[in-house]
Amino acid sequence: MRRAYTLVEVLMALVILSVLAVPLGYVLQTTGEGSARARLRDQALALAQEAWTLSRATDPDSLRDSAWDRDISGARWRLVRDVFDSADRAAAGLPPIRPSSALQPPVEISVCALRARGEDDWDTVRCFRWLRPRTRILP
Amino acid sequence: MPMVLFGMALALLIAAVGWTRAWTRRTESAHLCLAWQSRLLAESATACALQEAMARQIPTAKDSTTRDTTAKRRSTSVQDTADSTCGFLGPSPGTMSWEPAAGTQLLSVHARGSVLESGRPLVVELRSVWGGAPPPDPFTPALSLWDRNAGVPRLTGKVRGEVRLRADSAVPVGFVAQPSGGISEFVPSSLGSDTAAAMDRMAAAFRSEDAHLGGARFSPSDPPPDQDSLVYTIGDVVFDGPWTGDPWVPPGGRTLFVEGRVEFRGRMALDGWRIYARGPVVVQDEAALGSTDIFSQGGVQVSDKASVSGQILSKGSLVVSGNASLAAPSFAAVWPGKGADSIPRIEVRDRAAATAYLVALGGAAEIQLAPGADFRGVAVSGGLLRVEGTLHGVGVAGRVDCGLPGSNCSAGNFDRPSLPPDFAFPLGLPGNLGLRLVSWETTR
Repeated sequence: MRRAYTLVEVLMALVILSVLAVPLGYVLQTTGEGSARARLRDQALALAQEAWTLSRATDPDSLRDSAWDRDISGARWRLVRDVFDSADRAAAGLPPIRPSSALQPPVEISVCALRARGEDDWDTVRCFRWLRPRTRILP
Repeated sequence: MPMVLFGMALALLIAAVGWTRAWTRRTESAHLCLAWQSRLLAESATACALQEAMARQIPTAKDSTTRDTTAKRRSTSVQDTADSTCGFLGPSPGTMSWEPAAGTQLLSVHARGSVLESGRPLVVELRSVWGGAPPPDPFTPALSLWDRNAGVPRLTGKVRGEVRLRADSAVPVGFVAQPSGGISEFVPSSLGSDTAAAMDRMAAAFRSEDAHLGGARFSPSDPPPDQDSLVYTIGDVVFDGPWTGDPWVPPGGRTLFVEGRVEFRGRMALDGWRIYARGPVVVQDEAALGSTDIFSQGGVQVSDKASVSGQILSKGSLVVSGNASLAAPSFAAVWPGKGADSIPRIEVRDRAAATAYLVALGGAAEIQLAPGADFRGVAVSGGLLRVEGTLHGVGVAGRVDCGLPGSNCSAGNFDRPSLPPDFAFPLGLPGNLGLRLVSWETTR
């Protein structure tokens, strides 16, 4: 006949499990959060790449500061494109890019992916910046 | 108790798996982000290289106020390899750099963006080729002749397109009077300064501490050393590919300075190199050189089944023979040397093919297109243009000759409409400031 667990054994097991549960819970929570953050950053990267593709397909002289809203898996995202001009560079404390008489300076583009935290509260997840030649780029 | 131990083990296993997966995901996410960042830096370097190249095309007064000091104190440093600035504030630590081309007639940009990942550089390289858009007027005729004393050519072959003659008085029926101007309309304005810059660069390389005394022989079992710049003085350099099997692919994007002769033979595919040679450059057998800049003071020969695309600037002669080819986009220019090289010459012989913009400078210059050769593009000769087959595109010369005495162009055909519509013109032609991206490729 199988012997039943004694009260002491059950209490010991509960104590051990409760002691382990705290760090285990912490580990599971942090891994979950880390994974979620990585997913968020991946989504932000994908959105920034989308903005880059769009910017490349646009004539450089037609590029303007713009913002687009996206819904991804129920979350609201906003892409903000900032086209730096000489005034923006000066405001940021940057020297002007040396102009050439044959070619206008390259266009400096900044793209940020923001995620909605509230109605009008946005959290900047990722930003990228690059220069593109002032000429049409192949698709 | 066993159940408790089992439960503990299970919980630990779940935690370990979750932790590992989350860690892997975070690592992959960070790697993707850095790879993207390095690509953006490489693209930005391309933009800066273009800016620098176009500034060289039409020199501007130096502006000391734009000298960039941000590189030292900002998170993104910009490595200027020439006297130019392209101040850029990037969002993460990294560098962007570019190699100046041997000449900017057909601009090949090799740009590099790198960021650090766990202390190691993550590098993305881009290669792009830029050409000019065709200027509207000078290149519309099939043939433009500039020598007033050459007389009226007897063009009894097929001519599809207009023929312009430079003449003081009225031109015969069938010809159009050439407007004032000169052959310089067809020659990139920065050719002289780029040639001088290439010579200076080569001389500086031979004086540098990196220079090896003597030559070298490279092969699949003995590849070039892993250095961006290779310098060999007083000696020849030979690239020896296999005769059969897969072609040898040496690492791309290097700069080679050789005081003697450079030879490529066997089966190989070399990509994105910049070659500076005091002696001749010989490309033969089944060697294929893509997006390559060649600067030679001893002539260039492309023969057998070899092929080259890119820029060739050479003193003396350029000869493409056998079944060899100059592939698009290509630009080649030759100028007079001394002694045997005193007549600058470009020859497309035998069954060779060339899709290129060819320039032979000087009143004694010659461009010769053999009967079996397939030439598409623009041929500009300060002296003679000899066409024994068909020139598919535009001919510009002092005078024309088709190889048969007494009937100076009965064997030559000129077909302007067959110039490829996407043909890349050199940058810096007078009146042509348009830029066109010919190709763009991520190489790593």
